[in-house]
Amino acid sequence: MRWLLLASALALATGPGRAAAATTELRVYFNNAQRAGTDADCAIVFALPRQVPKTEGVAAAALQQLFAGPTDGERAAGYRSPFSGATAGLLKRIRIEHGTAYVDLHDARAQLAGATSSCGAAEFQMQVERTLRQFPTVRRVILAIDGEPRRYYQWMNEDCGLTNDHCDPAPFRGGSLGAGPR
Amino acid sequence: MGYRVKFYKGDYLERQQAANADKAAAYVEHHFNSSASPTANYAVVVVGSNASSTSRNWGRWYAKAVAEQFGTRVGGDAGILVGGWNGRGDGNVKHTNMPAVLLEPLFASHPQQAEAIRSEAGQAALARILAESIRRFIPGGGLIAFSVGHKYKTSSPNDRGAALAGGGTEADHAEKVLEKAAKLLTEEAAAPAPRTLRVMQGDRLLFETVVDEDAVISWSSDRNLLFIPQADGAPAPRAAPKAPKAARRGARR
Repeated sequence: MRWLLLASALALATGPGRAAAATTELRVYFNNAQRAGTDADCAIVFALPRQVPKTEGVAAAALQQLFAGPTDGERAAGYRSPFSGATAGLLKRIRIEHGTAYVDLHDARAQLAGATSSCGAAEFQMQVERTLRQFPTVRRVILAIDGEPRRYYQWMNEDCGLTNDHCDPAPFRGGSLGAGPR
Repeated sequence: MGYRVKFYKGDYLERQQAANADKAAAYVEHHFNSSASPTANYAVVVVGSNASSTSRNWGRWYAKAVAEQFGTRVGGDAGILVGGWNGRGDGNVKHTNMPAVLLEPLFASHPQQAEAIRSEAGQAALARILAESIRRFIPGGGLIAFSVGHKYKTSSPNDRGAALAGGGTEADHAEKVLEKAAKLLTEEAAAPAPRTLRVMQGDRLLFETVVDEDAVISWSSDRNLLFIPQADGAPAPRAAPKAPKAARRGARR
């Protein structure tokens, strides 16, 4: 196994007609209670566009944009996220294999202390999942902290089971370290 | 039928296993909710994916009582999230052998609610609701297992949960509420509490009286009257005659 450059996601996201574009268009997802019409459902997220320098690592680029949080203008428009400038470097690396995105995070538990509440977890998970699932190559997401999925799911008060491959760390360990966030 | 309270420490699974070994009558883990939005506010209780009807009813009753007390609303499915949100929180309570609830009564991220969480009055109100809920749903007494969310975890000893808007941490204040609830439960454990009717303004008790366990209490919005039937069965004024219009106008002035 190796850390992928997400070429397949790139092919699906760009297409031959846009190969010469100097930038890549992506979407990130944030909460917005005003648009949702309620602040009692923390799982409702809305897409916002992002334009980044042309890259083959679109999933990594999208997560980097997400983890930087909403802009000041977007915040003024009611968009909210647990992510901000303080978490901009949260992504350690990502690989996509057989429809699963393995997302390895730096340890930012102190900065994201509210993310383990029921509302905070919904915001965190929906923003990450919807941002990644804009790419047809991603059907599910498994996360880890410093290569240890058990550390992430234990932090989130979630058991290791079928939905997270029983916190198997193997997919986070193999491959080239050089293929980090792109 | 008295209550004893014991605080459990260690990782969440260990706490539940220890409570099982102690044959606790009920298990309570106290948290506060948090959101990136400072306006998010509702009361919710997580119960396990395998929760009994006692746990579900207990959670719904508690969430509704908190919502009424603090002027907010209930979240989830009429106040409860069965199995937590997408499994988050399920592992905190589903390994128990007894009724178990994970409380998220208020939002640490909501400035006014954070202020209430920090205040003695707010903590006392939460403790009173929790103690009342335990007396109602665990009427047989026994050992009540308390678990302070985030704090005292072996795997993450520095975890204190969400930051309170304006200062403080979720875990430290959850612990204060549980300590107050423990005091209420253990100090008033000698006799079963009678059914009590209270009138409160905010956190201030204006009026309190004991009422018959079986009394049907009715509210007349026309008369601003809460009617408690006499023990001999006097009927409630369901269709009480209104005062003449002129008299009502005069009364409003």
